Amino acid sequence: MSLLQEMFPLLIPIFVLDVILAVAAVRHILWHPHYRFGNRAMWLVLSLVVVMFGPIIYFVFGRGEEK
Amino acid sequence: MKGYIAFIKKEFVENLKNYRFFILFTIFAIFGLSSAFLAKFTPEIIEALGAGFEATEEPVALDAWQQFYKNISGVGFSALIILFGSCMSSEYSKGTLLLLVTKGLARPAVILTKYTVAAVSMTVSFWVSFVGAYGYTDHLWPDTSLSYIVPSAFFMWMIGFLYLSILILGCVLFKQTFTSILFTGGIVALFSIFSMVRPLSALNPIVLASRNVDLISGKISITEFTVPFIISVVLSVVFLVAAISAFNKKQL
Amino acid sequence: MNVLSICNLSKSFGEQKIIKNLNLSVPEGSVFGFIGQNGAGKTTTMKMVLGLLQPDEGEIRVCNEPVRFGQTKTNQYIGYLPDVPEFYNYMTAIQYLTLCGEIVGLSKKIISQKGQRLLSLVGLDGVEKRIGGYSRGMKQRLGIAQALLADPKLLICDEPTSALDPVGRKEILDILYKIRGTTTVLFSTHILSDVERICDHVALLNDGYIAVGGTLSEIKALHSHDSLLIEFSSEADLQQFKASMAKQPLLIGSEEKGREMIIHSREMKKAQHTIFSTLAEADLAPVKVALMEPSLESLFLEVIK
Repeated sequence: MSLLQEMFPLLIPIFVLDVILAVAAVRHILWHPHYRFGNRAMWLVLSLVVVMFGPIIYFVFGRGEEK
Repeated sequence: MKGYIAFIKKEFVENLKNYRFFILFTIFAIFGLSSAFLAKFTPEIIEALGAGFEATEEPVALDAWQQFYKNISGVGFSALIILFGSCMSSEYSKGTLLLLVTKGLARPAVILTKYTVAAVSMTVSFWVSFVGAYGYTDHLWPDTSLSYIVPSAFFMWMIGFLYLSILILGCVLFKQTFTSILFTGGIVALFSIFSMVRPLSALNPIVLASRNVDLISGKISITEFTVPFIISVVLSVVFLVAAISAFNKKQL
Repeated sequence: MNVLSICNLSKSFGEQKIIKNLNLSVPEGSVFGFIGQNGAGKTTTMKMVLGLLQPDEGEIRVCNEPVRFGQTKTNQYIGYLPDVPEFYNYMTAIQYLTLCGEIVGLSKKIISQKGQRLLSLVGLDGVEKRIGGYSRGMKQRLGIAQALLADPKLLICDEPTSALDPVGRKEILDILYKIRGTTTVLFSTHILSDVERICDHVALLNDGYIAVGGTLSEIKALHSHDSLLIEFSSEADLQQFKASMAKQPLLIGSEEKGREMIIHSREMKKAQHTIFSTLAEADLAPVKVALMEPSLESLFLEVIK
């Protein structure tokens, strides 16, 4: 698969950014028990399954007030 | 001035802590990097999947830039507006500004600070995204040379300031995040509607965010950006001044 | 010298006139109690003093400088504590004070010295946690610390104790008591016992203007000793007393409770003569006869009647 070989190195930076987003979201979800809506399980699943958009939606809409 | 500096420090810390910088930066970076990537490989991936789709034309560097401007003006600026849409409403709803204003923090400094911080994060995110897109495009199409790539991005960047000025006015006028965002969206939509009206379309600031690829491809000349650019800068200042004077009369 | 003087102030919200021709002077060095019922316009008045609300009419001067709406110039003389102060939850007390100090334009060194001193004054020294985890009383105390940071001539507190439990209230009053002499304090409240505890000057806001104002002792003297309590050994005695007093106008407005009776009069000395002679004639011996100290509460009730 030359296509995959060609694509792969280019994908790494994007992939790394997605991983950073997911890790940040998961860490935040685990440390903060309060969410504007939804519960912990829902946000964990969303952040891990929906690449990029999951964590962003969590940070923009789901994150509770800083206590 | 001392109030402005003190408040700007507070705003930077706050935006780091509430992940606004992080989110905006990551969104811009991902979309900057992936625009060239998607332009290059989408046809090939579909072909490889055997969907019976034959790529009629080999994608070119211009397609990558097309994708970049589509992403930034769509997703990037939307994220910017949504993220900073709550910059005043969170202060209003909790009444945190009351103490600082009665301490002698000048009201214009509050607005200028909010604007500065939003503009700086937009600027950093945008140009990092641009550098990423440039690098990928250059790597994937090494033999292509296009002109006006940087000016084209510059115009896109400038309209970001206009969007932020409109947003800040919305944030001052309305207590709710959602209303402020809606206000901004409404005004931008108005610009888009006016850009369809013939005699005005050439003056409309929307040109700065919609004709970028035409500038790179040489379809239009850079002089056609002059008037929309000036109008955009003037409007940015007007909206910002309006926001400051509205906030001076705002009850906290 | 007056730190604050308000002259003919008026303010309406829509049709409702909240403040009507209010006049008020706060002398330097006083602890000034600004009393009024909920909704009487205490907060409105204070916000106008701070330039947060536009008065319809009248003039406000702080340290002889006129207050202008939306401007912060006169606020340099004022420390302000709103009824429910709100801070940035992610900061610690010292971080918040640093922000305030930088806005005011204090140097780093002074901020850290003063910050420490004020935090120990309000009992928050050594508290490392973020403000988000503070109790109401702690927030109120931090509020006082931030208000005092710039050495204001006048400290304005809006109902500083009303949202607190008895312990928190005592702490706040103790702090306000401690700073008298160095800073003039103006605080609004509807809790009269707080005023009696720490104030030397009082103004009573009712119906949009100052109904009574002056030093606490003046006011008390003005309305002094206007009630007499008489306690009988039995209810029958009380009834007998009432019967023999029937032709006297003194009993109008008196209160009865079991074997006790409270008689009000403007001329207490004359009233006492009448009462004692009536008692002697009717051969009644009360268990207790006492002049009642006028409480602010009775003054207050009298005024708002």
